[in-house]
Formats: sequence, structure tokens, C-alpha cells
Amino acid sequence: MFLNDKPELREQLYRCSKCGYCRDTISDELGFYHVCPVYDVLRMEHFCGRGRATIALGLMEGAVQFSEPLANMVHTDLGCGACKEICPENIDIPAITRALRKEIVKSKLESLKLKQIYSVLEETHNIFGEEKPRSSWAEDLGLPKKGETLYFAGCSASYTYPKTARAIVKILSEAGVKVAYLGEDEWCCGAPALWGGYIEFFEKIAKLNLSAIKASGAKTVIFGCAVCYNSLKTHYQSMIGKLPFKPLHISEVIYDLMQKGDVHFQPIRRRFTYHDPCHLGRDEKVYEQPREVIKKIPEAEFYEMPRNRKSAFCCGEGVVVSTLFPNLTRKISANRISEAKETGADAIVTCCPGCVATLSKAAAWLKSRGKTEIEVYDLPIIVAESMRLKL
Amino acid sequence: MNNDSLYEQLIKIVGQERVSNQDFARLAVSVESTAIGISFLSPFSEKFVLPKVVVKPQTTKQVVEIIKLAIKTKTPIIVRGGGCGGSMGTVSTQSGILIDMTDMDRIVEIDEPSMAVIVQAGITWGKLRHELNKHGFRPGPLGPHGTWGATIGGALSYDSCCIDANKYGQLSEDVLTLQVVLPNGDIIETGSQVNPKSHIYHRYCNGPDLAGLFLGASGALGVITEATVRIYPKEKYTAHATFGFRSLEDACKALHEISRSGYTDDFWMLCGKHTVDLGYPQAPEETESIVALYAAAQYPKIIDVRKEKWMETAKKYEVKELDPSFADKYASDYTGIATAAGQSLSWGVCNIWPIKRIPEIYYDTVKLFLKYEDIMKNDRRRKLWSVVAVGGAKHPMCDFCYGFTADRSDPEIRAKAYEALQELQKMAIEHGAAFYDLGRLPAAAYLWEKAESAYALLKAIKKALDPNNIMNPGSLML
Repeated sequence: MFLNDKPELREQLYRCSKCGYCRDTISDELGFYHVCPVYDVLRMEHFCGRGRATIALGLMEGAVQFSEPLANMVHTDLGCGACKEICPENIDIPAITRALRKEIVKSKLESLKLKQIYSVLEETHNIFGEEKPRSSWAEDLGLPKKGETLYFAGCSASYTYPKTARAIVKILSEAGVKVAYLGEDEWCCGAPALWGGYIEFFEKIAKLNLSAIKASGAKTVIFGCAVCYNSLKTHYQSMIGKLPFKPLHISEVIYDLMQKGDVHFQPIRRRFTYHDPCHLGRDEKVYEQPREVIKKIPEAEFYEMPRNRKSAFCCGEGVVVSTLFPNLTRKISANRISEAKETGADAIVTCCPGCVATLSKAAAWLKSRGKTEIEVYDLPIIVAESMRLKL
Repeated sequence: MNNDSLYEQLIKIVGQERVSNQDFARLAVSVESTAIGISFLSPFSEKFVLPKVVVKPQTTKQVVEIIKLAIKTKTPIIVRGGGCGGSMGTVSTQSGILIDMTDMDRIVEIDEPSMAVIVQAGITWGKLRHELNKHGFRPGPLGPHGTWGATIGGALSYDSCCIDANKYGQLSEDVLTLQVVLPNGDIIETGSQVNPKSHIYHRYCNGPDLAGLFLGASGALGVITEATVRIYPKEKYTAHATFGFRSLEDACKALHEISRSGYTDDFWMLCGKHTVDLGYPQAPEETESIVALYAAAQYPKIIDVRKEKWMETAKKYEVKELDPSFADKYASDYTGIATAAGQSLSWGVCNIWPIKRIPEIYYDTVKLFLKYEDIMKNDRRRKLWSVVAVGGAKHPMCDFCYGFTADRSDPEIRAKAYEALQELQKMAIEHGAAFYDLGRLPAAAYLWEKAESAYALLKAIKKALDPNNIMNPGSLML
């Protein structure tokens, strides 16, 4: 029976008091101005946390059955965790969604697009289906495969944003931190499999990555991608117990280096706002370090969006959602861009290449329609610019 | 008309994206807060069915068109606000059209000189408070247990008790005018708005109080689409404090004395012995009752006077102020109230009592709970039941909430728990409790047995307004 292997989630579904905080709360006291980005766009109860929890309970109780339309609805969940954050009963909607998706795959009800994500990942070990070497971005950097500190680049930085990967390595090098890199032994972190419902495949990927990290001898692993960071720090860890290394996000590392005086910033005259990636903020509680780093850049101005930190709105990427429902993603990310622009900022900084890609697409779309104009940066790019590093 | 045709017709009225006939969509709106609101679980599933279709109108005109379609097709209508109620008033006993009102969520006007706000009925309390806050205003009561996600229309249809109602009263008391779509599709305005030329917002004029007919009517007599309610200046200063009493009787007397001093506190919460550990496990051993008090005012001097009165009363009853963690938890964002009401009272009931009778109903409730103790779940909060009285109705009345936890996943326990709940409601009616959220509670049957004339009048009104019985059939036993 559905969720028989997850007694804690079963208990949560019976416990949900249906207070509806997770649907559309606007509260000056709680600091939330709407909660669910998907409900915000699609406006039907089944798209918000409470509705999803009710449906999961209905599936458990046999009141409804799995079907293709239901599978489609389940796959619209971004997993952004705002519903979990506001829930007075600590109902873990993202975990319930992952469990639902696992069951959908088991019932062979997943969409063709999702199956393609799985095939591409299995064949190429990266989410984009790229066949060129994963380590192309690092060809001239001479990074060793072994060392105490390892940089886990992830798919997006390796293929779409190689400058971000190079910025991270160069910032660390400038600060005197030598990093190793797994090269072709690094696989996708497995997040698309985890969030797509292919749990066994995710576990296989996790084992391969953990084995490669172990072989590298790393005691600390640094991540530039919030999703990779969350996958390893939380989901690998829940699979194997304590990780044999310390996971750190690059924003935490730069902040520490800044505190020690190991990095020095030159002026950048720009008005920044910061977008919290869900998997870095709500999931891993890294809120302040990126902000402190941006604020430390001379002559940079900083503006906060109304929805920030625990109540930050998702960019709309949702690991697999942006591939499955691009129009939904665009509406959500366009809303976030508008919110950023309203602060008076001319640039959004974030800490995840996934957010950068999603927000950049929406920014370009809005710009092409003459609606608004804003730049989107990953934090390492701005830091590297401020350190005057050549990428 | 078959379901597909009904679905197509509704799409023509509100657009494709605001209608769904998927089974999971219909299921998602077939629940309310508290255990008895999960309509698809036994034993409730014997009575309740899923609606045929869910629709989300944005305008009064669309509501009219939906009702006309329902009349034409003889399809029942259920109207749902935030889905935060606890009386099964928005779950279906006859499958029909479920109107989800949460897209009718606009502020129509904030009329500052009239100290009134006109809203669409699907606006949430959270949005209303946020929008008023921008103008330095607040609604009087701050919302029922759903706090942020509950809607104004829901609170009016169920006469909900509210946070801060100790001073301001329930929201129904702050209604100036209503706009209602009747079961025949006509739109009526009440009070001063009966006169279409009027830009005045006043309830008691132009004949009888028509608004009162629809307040607390559980959606059986029409759809409230707009409401004009009073607003108040938002206070700048607040205070709260918690006291531990050695008897429940003393706690009740103290609450009354504080109000008699001339300054009614905005809100308070009183917990009996069995609930003390729930929110305040560090209370001294001899604590039989905890009282948390909240005050808000425009001027610091008023706050000082009220705090003085609290301390004076505490001295009289020889009680000490406890550390503020309990009051902090409830006063900061009211999340605690939703948690307490939704979880600890998952099998529970709330109704209105005068403060002076709290001890009487409290002790009888505990006796009844002891009878059913074997089904009560020792959950993560390590408490079997809780009994909480809150200043959710205007002083000297209060909202008395009593309930227990029981395993919702076990059908046998659910059946037994429902039996306990029915007994609890019967006991409450026998004691004379005033039910505000009647909906489809068993209490309605117990009440009407004792009030045949009132019930007959209500049925006559229902028949006059809704001869086809399409509006929320079964609610209020109509």
C-alpha cells in the first residue's frame, strides 16, 4: 500500500489539520506574502500543499487512485518547501511529493518527458545529455583528482555555466585553498532522479559519487549548486548516515574566507538584490552568508525583496518542473523577476546555477517584451569580478 | 444534464482553468479542519460524497450564472471559503457543484472616513489584515482558527469566533452590509445598501436586519459575495502576560474582574489542568489553570493601566506572573492557536459559554473524556485531551474548545471517537451551549429537537428562499 514504507509520512498525512496556512497565507506577522508559487499561478486547491496532502491521504485510503492526470498534478510540485516551512504541524509536503512520484514511476504513469530525463541521465551521467567531457571547463586548470578539499561542480556549472565553475576554483585558489576535482568520475548529483521518483537510480548515483569522493580522500566538499549541496548534505546523508566528509556551499566558504581576510573585494557599482535558492535557504538554512558577502563589496548597494529567507518565493525551476511544465515555470519566475525589480535593484544575485538559468530565461523573456530589464548572476561570478579575477 | 455537460457549461462561465472535474480535484476540496472534516474517511464517508465539479468564480456575476445553471439542472451547490471550518458545513451530502470562493478575494474599497472596508467574500483574513495594515487599520476580530487562510465569507457563514473577539466581538457583529446571491439567482444588498443610491454603510436601517438572515446560515440560504465590515485603527502598543492559578474557579473570577475594571482585554486564553502541559510544561506543580492575557492600545498609558490591573488581580488571587514563553508563543503570530485547535482538538467541538460557567462544563467534559480514555492517542505532545477557553466572543462570553486526540488512521478508533464526539455535543446542548459553527454537526439535530418552533420557522424561510433546495442541502438540517 502507498506509503507503507514511510510510517512517519503516513502519520503526518493523518495529522494535517487542514488549517490552510500552506495555500495562500499573507501575513505581516509571519513574513509570508503568498506561500505556494504553483497555487499562485494555477489557483486550484489540489496545487497547494494542503490539497496535495489531502490527495495523498485519499490515495492511502483508496478514495482516489493513481492516474495520468493525477501524475501530472503531482509533477507540478516545485519541492520548494515553503509549505513545509509555514506548516504549524511540520507536514513535509516535499517528502510526500517524492513518495508520490516514486509510486507514479512504479505504476508506470510518468510522462514521456520525465522518462526522457531518466534516459538522458542514465546514458550521459548529466542532466543535459551532453556527450562532451564533463571536465572540459577545467582543462587548463590542472586540478588534481585527490586532495583534502574537493570541488563538486554539478551538471549546470560543468556544461551551462563553466565560468561559474572557474570562478569558484579561482576564488579559492586566490585565497590559498587548493581544490581537487573528480573530473569524469563526478556524476550528476542525482537530484532529477530523486525528484522524478526514480529512487533506486538516485541511490545508485549517490553510491557512485560517494565512492568517488571517498577515493579522492576529501575531508571537505565544496558545492556551487544549491541542489547538489542539498542532495548530498541531506539526501545522501539520510541514505547512508553520517557523511564521511564535511559538505559546504561556496557562499559559506567565501564568507569564512572573507571573515579571515583571505579574500579582498574591489568596488562594483551595481544595485543588487538576493534570491534565496530553496534548497540552500529553506532546506539547509544558509541565509545570511550570501547576503553578507554581497554587502561587503565596496560601492555595491543591497536591496531585500519582501519575500526573503524562509518565505522566499521559488524561481520556478523545481528540478524537473521546468522541463515538464515550462510555461508554469516562466510565469513563476517572471513574478519573481518583477518582485526583484520592484526593490530598485538592477541585478539579482543567487547561489544556484539552476536559479540563474531559470531567472535569466524569464528576464530575457520579459526584456524581449519590453517589460523590465534586470541582470542575473551567480554569487561566485560577482565575487570573482569584485576580486578582479580573470576567468 | 450529465457531469461532462455541467463541466462544459461551467467552463463557459469562468474559463477552463477555474473548473475541474478530476476526482483528485474534487477530493482536495472535500475536507475541513478537524478529524470529522475528512469526509472520505469512515464513518463520515457513509454520509458524504464528492462534488461533481469544482468551480472558482471571480465575480458576483459569475456566481449568479453558476446558480442559474444549478437551478436549470437541479444540481446542488456547496459553497466553500478557506476550508478551515470544523462542522462539515462545506462537504457534500449530495453531489453537485462546489463553489470555491477563494478567487473572489479583492478589496473593493477601504472607506477610511466611514471606518469600513468592502471586500469580496473569498478574501482571506491574512490578505485583509495585510491590506488594512498598509493604511494603519485592522479588522476588529483577527480571524478564526484558520487565522491566515480562512476567508471572511466563511467566518460570516459560520459566525466564527475570532482572535481578539473578547473586545471586538465576532465578525458577524461588525457587519455593516452584505451582498448575497439568493438561491433563485437574484442579488440583494442589505442595510443601507438596500438603497442603490446610498454610499453609507450601516446595518440597522431600511427595515429588518436582512444581513442577520445569512450570518451563521452555513450557506443554506444564499451565497455571501461581498461584505462591508467595520475597521479600527491599528494599535501601536501591546502587552501580554501569563498567570498560573491554583483553581479554575479563581481563574474565571479573575478574568471577569479584569473586564469589570473598565478595560476589556483584546484576547485571553485559559487552559485547564489537562492542557497546561501542552503549552506550558514548566508550570509549577500546583498550577490548575493558566491564563494568558493580551492587550493592545493606541497609547502606552492605557497599556500601563491594564498591566496594573492584571498585577492587582494577580495579587488578590495570590498568583505570580509566569515566564512569558506561553503567551509569547500565542501572541507572536497566533500559530499556536491553529496548532492547538487543529491538532489537540482534532476530535473536538467549540461553542460559546459565559465565562462564569467554564468550571461546570469543564468538569463534565473531563468526566466524559475519562470514559473514552482508551481511544485517546498518546501522541507526540503527550497529552490525551485539551480544554481551552479563549476570548473568541465578546466579554463576558467566550469560545470554549474541548477535544481530544485519537488515531485517525484506525477505522475502529475513528468510529468510537465519533461516538464520543456526538456524546460531547449532546452534553453541550443539554448544558445550554451556544453553537456558532453548526453546519452538519450532530448538535444541530439535538438542538432542533428542543426548538421545534425555531426549526419550523427556519425551514419555512429555507423553503421560501430555496424551493428547489439547491443551496447546501443538509446543512443546518435544512
